[in-house]
Amino acid sequence: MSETNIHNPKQLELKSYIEKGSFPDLIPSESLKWKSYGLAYKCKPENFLKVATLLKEDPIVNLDMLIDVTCVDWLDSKDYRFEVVYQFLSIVHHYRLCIKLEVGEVSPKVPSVRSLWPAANFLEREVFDMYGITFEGHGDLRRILMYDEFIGHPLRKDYPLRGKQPRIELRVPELRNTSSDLKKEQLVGLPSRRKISTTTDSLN
Amino acid sequence: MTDVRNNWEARELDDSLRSKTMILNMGPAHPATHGTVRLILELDGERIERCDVDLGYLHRGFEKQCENVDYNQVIPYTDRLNYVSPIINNVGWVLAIENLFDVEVPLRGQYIRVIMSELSRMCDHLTCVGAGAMELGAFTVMLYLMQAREELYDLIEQVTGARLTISYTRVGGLKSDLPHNFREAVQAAFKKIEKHLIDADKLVSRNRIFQDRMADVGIISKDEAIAYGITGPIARASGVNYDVRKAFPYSSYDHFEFQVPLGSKGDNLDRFLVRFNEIYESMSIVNQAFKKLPDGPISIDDPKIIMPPKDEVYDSIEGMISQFEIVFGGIKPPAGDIYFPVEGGNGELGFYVVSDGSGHPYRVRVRPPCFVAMGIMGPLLEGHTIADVVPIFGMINMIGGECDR
Repeated sequence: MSETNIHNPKQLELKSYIEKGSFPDLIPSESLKWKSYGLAYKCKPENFLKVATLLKEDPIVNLDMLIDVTCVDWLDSKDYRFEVVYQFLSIVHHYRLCIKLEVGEVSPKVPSVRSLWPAANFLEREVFDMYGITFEGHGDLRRILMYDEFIGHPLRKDYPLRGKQPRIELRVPELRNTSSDLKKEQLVGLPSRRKISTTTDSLN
Repeated sequence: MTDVRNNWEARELDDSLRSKTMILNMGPAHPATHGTVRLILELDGERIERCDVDLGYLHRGFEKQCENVDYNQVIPYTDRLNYVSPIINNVGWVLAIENLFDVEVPLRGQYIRVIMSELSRMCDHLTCVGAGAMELGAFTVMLYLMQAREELYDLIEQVTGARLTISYTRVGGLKSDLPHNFREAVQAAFKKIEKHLIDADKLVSRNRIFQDRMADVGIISKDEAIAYGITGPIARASGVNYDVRKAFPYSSYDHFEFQVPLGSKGDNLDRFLVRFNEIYESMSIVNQAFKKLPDGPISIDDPKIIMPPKDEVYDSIEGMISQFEIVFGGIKPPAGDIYFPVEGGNGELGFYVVSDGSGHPYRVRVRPPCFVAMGIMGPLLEGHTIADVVPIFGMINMIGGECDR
């Protein structure tokens, strides 16, 4: 299963160090098709936080930068639905590493690495927004690219390309200490130029 | 900090007046934040206590759309990602797919890609530096650098036919070769650009207001830059010596000698100067590439990947068959996945592509450098004043198309 076409000596160094045994939770996987730098491993989601901490703090590996967190929706073609893919880089040693986690369809959950790499804040929020995968321990997991009232997760394969969304209610303004909080009657002398109503029109 | 968006109550401050903080919305349409980004600021007078960044106003569904089109049809979509340096996006995408096929474009094609990428990178840096100076009031600087950028747009238009939505590369090569006398046109343009750069530098480098507003503002330390995943000119201004062109060379960047400007303090002025100096380095790379430019084909010779020339299509049956297969079925890379980074104008622009062997990509992911850089915007702005938001935002150079895709 570990078909590797890694030629780069540094990456081979990294590969042999990892496979020496200090990282038993990393399972060798088919490497990415990037000739020299596509070293990839799989890991179980439960063990991921532990492995990530070890990889970051180990002085020989020293993966100090999280480059990317993304997800692939395999729908029915594999026995797991989602695959969360992490790309790491060591600035000091110029090692690259890719770790893939297999996540099931029912309540997909993955531990968050925001405590190790603050870059994960926005990246994990985007995966949550687009795929619905919950990152446990993130602390601020909300939608980032789509609006809050969006229903569904757009990049999943069962979400249509031109999905339609219902109209949303007018939002309460977030400013809580300005005149827009006051009721209409209190704004003496000002005619109401805008009908703020939440009843459905006949046009709906 | 839980759910800040729905929890923006103005907090009481501890002073004898029992005043409250003010929530200010620097909304998606704002003249000083170029790009559609919303900043929700909680202010104590002029000072920012908390800041939240609301992205997604320019989200157009690039990644979902790419799953439904051919690999070559994605190229116009990539133009619209970082629209100030579109060729770099094109090159990044095309290199990712070529690596899936495990082919390499001939040397002339690679050198031309380098030349066009560097011209595009110069456009990006000129825009950022010019707009950044304009937002502080130095309008003339912006006009000088926009004039310089016009020279570059003229050059790009000579080669590709368009200024912004270029789609110059194809999987396996390029759309067309460079025009005649392009080298002389580039040298003439570079002379004019250098003059504009010197003029702009003179206006700005000893200007008290500019220096005071940019120096020591928005400091990102080296560790913070690495922790927040920031690469590119922003990280290099903080001292992180990482450039994808040097660390993981692609498209024969290792044939050229160039320096990577590094800052030390990581403040706005360093980011400004790093970008300014990278323009000179790009010019040097282009000059070296022209000196060494070999003759030869610009595209590979594989009929399964690139369409044959038109005379072969009309004269031979193999040409017609391969044209038909590529147009109707799309090119089909072997199944597998790849992550390929290139050095974009703002950092490491990576494409993660999953192919299932059919003519459409299964999953396309753009790793946008601006998106990751916006992650630091919230913590960075805390403690600064509203007046500092403008230069900091300008020097982070968030390009809406790349951030939101």
